[in-house]
Amino acid sequence: MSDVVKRPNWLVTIAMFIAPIVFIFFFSRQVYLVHTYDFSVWKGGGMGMFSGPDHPSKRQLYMYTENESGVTKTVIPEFNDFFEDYYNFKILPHPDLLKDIQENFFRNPLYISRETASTIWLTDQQYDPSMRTFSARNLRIELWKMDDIDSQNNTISINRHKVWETER
Amino acid sequence: MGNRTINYWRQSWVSFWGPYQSQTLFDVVALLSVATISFHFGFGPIWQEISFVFLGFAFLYQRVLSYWYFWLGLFILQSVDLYQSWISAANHTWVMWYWGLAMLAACLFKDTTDQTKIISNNARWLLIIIMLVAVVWKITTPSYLDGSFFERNLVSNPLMTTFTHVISGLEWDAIEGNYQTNYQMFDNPNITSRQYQSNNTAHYLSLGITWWVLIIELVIGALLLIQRFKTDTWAHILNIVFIACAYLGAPILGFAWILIVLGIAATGTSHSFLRPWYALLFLLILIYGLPWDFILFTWLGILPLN
Repeated sequence: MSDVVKRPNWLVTIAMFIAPIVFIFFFSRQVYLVHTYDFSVWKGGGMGMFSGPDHPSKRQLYMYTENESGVTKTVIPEFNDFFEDYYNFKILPHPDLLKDIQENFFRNPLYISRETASTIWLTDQQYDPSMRTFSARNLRIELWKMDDIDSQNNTISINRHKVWETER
Repeated sequence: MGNRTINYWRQSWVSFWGPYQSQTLFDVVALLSVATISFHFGFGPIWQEISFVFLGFAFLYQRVLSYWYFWLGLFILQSVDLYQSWISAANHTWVMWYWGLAMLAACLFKDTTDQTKIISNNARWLLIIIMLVAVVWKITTPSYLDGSFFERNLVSNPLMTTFTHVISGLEWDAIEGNYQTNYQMFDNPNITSRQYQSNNTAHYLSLGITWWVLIIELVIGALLLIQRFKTDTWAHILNIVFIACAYLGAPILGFAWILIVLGIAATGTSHSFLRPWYALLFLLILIYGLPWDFILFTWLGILPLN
């Protein structure tokens, strides 16, 4: 007697289409995120790669904050958890990710690893005891994209798309 | 590796080239799928090592490829990794995840005819949707249709500039200038416009590539939708041509590998004569992966070292 148990045909039919069904679900989700939250069309599993210039590397977040003396400085986050949130938010500027960035920025102790007249490099890890803490008053985030290509004049343009401002 | 295992693989690969056998197609596709997922899914550090354990088992103990819990384990591994990195994951990572689910579904059935039906149908529909959805994104993006997106990529994307340099003759200095433009693009938000360098050949090349990619993706998807012997044959031939050409310009090996696996699986019961061509594509894609800049510069002196 064979030990092969034949499963019903309708189960086979479902199995025959399982991957495309899941694909269509995630494609629909990607379309929703692209149109609602400005998700990069290159990401999300919906095959938007090589369809346009909106690649994550053609996006930039500019972050600004005021230091204790009220001087506005450009913030450069360094490679740690804070940086990962920042990178993900650049690709998908979703309110939940924004909240994570804001909470990290205002609640966690941040340390200055380097500072110039215009720029401040912040990290959430104190690599060196001489690094002093930084207490931010506010945070301004701007999302810029390279989204214009003029092939007549061979020029590319960057534009500011969104701005989020938060006070402590 | 025991003699039984070696004999098993020898038989599988020999019959892979010959007349159709359900079990052979499933075994070969299963092994290629595990290899593709292990090498090109883009796992994080710990998951990558675990995936090689799966690959090792697949090579040494071929039986595991028909166990549903082997594929469940691999699918869970893929899912955990993708859950952690879904925002930034590449599209071929997602396709491998969809495909891992299809392989798991197939292994839940013991009957080899059912397994073959499941993998070949999932592969067919994945190819259809991949091609048609890619077309939808492209025709809804103005900078794609006017060719400007591809032109800028051809002259400044390191994946494509070697190709552009050889075909269009655009000077390497100009290409390096374009790299600089890329690096400096966001240096100062007060400078909102920057110049890049191109030439007429690159411009017309970009227009040709723009429309060629759009049309071939549309035709492959549409032909596979019709589901007739002749249309399937042409779809597979075009798919082979598409992979061979597309990944010459943009060598993203992971996407090429998973499209080949899907192509082999989609040959199903009727198009086994096309499988050797897909197998040759694997070799061709490996050849594409050689350090051509170095070879052309050192041996032939055609390219400057970049």
